[in-house]
Amino acid sequence: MGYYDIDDILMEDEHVTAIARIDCASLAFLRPYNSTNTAASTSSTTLMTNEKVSLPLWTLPFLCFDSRFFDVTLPKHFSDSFRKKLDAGGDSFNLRLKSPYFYSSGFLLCSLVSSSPSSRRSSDNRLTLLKKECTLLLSVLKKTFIGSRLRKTLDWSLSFRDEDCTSYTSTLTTEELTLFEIGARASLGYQEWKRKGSRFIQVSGIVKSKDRRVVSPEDKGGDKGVKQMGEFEEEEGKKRRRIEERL
Amino acid sequence: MSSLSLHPPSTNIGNKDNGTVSRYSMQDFLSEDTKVEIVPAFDCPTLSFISCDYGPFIAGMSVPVPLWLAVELRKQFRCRITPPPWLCESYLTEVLNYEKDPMNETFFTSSEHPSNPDIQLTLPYHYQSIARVLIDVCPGDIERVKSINVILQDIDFLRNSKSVNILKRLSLSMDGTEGEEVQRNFNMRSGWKGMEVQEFKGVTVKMLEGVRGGDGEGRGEGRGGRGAGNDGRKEGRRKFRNERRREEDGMGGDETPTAKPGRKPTGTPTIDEDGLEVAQIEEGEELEEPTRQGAQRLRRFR
Repeated sequence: MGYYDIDDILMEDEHVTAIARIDCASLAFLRPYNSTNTAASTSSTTLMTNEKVSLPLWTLPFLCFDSRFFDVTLPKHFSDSFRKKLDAGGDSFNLRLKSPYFYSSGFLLCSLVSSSPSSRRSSDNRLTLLKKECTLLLSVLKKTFIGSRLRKTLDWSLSFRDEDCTSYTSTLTTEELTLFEIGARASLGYQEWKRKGSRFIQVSGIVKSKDRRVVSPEDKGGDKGVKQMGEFEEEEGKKRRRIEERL
Repeated sequence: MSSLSLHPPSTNIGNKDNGTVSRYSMQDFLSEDTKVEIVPAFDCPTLSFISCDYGPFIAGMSVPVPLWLAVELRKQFRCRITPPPWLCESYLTEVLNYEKDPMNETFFTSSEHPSNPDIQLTLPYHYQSIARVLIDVCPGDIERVKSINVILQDIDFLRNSKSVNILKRLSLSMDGTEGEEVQRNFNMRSGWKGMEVQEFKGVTVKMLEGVRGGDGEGRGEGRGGRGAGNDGRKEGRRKFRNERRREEDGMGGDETPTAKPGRKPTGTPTIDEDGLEVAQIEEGEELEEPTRQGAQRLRRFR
């Protein structure tokens, strides 16, 4: 989560198809390499209207939604037919094949679409249709995440298995994989605790390094109301010795 | 940028400089504050410690002390530990029978004290740690230790599988297969004990974060409260989050920061001059970005 999060960066690199609505100067590099556009007016530097390009998600706010230079379509794995399949039973799909950031990219798309300003022009149907699709997509995504896939993941991760789970985890998206790892690590830690008991808790580094602290003679007299940390330790040690003597 | 937070929290607390410690060991450490009764074999006036005074110790007279002190004295053979009232075979068998019964979907809460019917007795929060320590240190002081050990292990196993079932039922209710009562009744306070919390909180929080979805939509739903179901879910999550926060405060807040499901910044995302989406943070909002770089970057936009 955030600017430096590598998963966020990779997720925002997911691509969607977009169609140019106007001629875009100097954007011809967006044309796919094996483009079969044989129009006579194919320019070498300008991207012509109605040309299909593949745009990453991070470009969408300023190319598609705030400025409406491009019209975006949802990728195939967010289409209506696939949504229906997910609704029917999501746990058999290899979602990682479709997109390793299936859920995050879907959520991002939905939030971009829903927060984009609606056009005042009544002829701009595409955006309204897209908005409707995205509201449906959002509910399907949430339902899929929390649904049978999650239950299967819980079964696999929380049940103390020693075997190789990659046959299952290779079908999970990154988000689900994180959940799986959390569960697996937690249950393994619990098993270790049951077997071995508590591990030794080390002294914190702050306390360890207190002896190396350089204390000038003026400092010692400084705050008379607040005792220095070292003095607390001394008193504690004295008390402990006193107890042992008495006992 | 709106997305699920994908960093998995580790099972260790603390950073590499200070040394990591397993969460489960930390629970053992925190459990040592619970009071147990001991019968000292020595005489001693009141002992003053930083947090509290204990004593006076009179040989033969029962006195309440924290578990760490009791264990220390017992190891030096200076006292006898009276096992706590819940650590007896009859009570634990009752707990076990309750957990075994497949009709009981929630955890065992409380029942009468075996000898004193007026007092309600519950399994303490750290029952696993306390039982383990007492059985290790003073097996002779506890009646029928071996069978208690077996019963406790059975109880652990049953509660574990029950917890997974509870999570599964929560997921069933959230994806519309079952009713929404589970969401309203999902309250960690009345169920999970120390070790189970550590085991399942990571998974539960990740689950609920996933359901929230992206920033705008998830939060909007939670605040709007479009129906009874949503409120229940919000309640459960809030209680869970408070529970986790209290847990983390108890540990001294040394936990890796990415484990916290903090609140995301509000405000509509805007585009700054780099063409990147930047969330606006209002005054007084709690920030999610705990890293120094993140904090510095966000400070610019305040």
